[in-house]
Amino acid sequence: MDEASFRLFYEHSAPRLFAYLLRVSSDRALAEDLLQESYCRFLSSKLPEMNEPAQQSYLFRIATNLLRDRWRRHKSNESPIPENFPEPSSGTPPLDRQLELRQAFHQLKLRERQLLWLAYVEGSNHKEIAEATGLRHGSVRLLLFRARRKLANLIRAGTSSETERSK
Amino acid sequence: MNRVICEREDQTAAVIRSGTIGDDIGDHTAAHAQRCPVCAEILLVGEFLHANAALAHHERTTLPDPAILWQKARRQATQQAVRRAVRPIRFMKIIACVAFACAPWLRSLLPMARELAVPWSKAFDLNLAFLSKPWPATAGQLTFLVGLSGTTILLLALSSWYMLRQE
Repeated sequence: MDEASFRLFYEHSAPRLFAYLLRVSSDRALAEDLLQESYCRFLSSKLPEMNEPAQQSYLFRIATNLLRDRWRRHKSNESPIPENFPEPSSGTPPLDRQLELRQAFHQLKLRERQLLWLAYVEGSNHKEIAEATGLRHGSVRLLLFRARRKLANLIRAGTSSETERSK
Repeated sequence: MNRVICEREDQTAAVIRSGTIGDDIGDHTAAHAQRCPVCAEILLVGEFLHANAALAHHERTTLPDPAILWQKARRQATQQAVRRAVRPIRFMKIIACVAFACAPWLRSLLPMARELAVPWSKAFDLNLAFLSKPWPATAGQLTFLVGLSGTTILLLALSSWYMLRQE
């Protein structure tokens, strides 16, 4: 990969990778750090010729592994929810809605967040998720189902409490 | 028992990702989701995650310049190559240091080695008398020993200098 094609690849993939790292880690500084490290490792690895979706899948795999390693090193599965809210701009959801979204997702475990994000935001199939997370292919469906159910219950609980508050 | 899978769940997930709820395919999927608890859950979770992804895009800070990452990755690759290249020297240096440090102790073991070797020397008709003689006994042997030690130290210094220069 030469510098020009890397620049193009970076422009396509970096916003999505940052969103993934930010939401799964819930830590902006860590997400920024891991973004850089993921690209450096991606460039250092001797990859065979592959198309862009395969390259992106490989990049997410590196990021997922780095995230998991960092988590193990710190031995803390619960990082604080970042407090630095962005300045409200046009199209940004209101702050209470932002907080609600973060808190619901943050109640899941790291692996559950990774699985859900890869499956429903990145559109990865079970095989790709298994490769990225190091899980067995057969386990992904069940773990994904459990994570999805857990999040659905959290969302429903959040929605019902919001309805009660508004009454 | 609750349903765990639906044959249309991939299609439902794809509709959320593509943001086509509201058009014909999306309406068809939404109608299906009203009857199917699995797809209803996917729809709920998928929409929540997409709201989260959109929020993460709003929270995005300025991403690092790809040119900087490119340079950083190249620097790391060079460092790795150097580390690989000097690995044999490093290995030999450790062996030399260990041998140098252990030499007096090994010399003190010579008589014991002779004791152990006596039965073998008789069996195979070997002359192991040199093991019991003190060494260095002559001025020539002493010169040889000092020269050998000096050469070892010189080589250690040279390899250290070479590794430091490469790094």
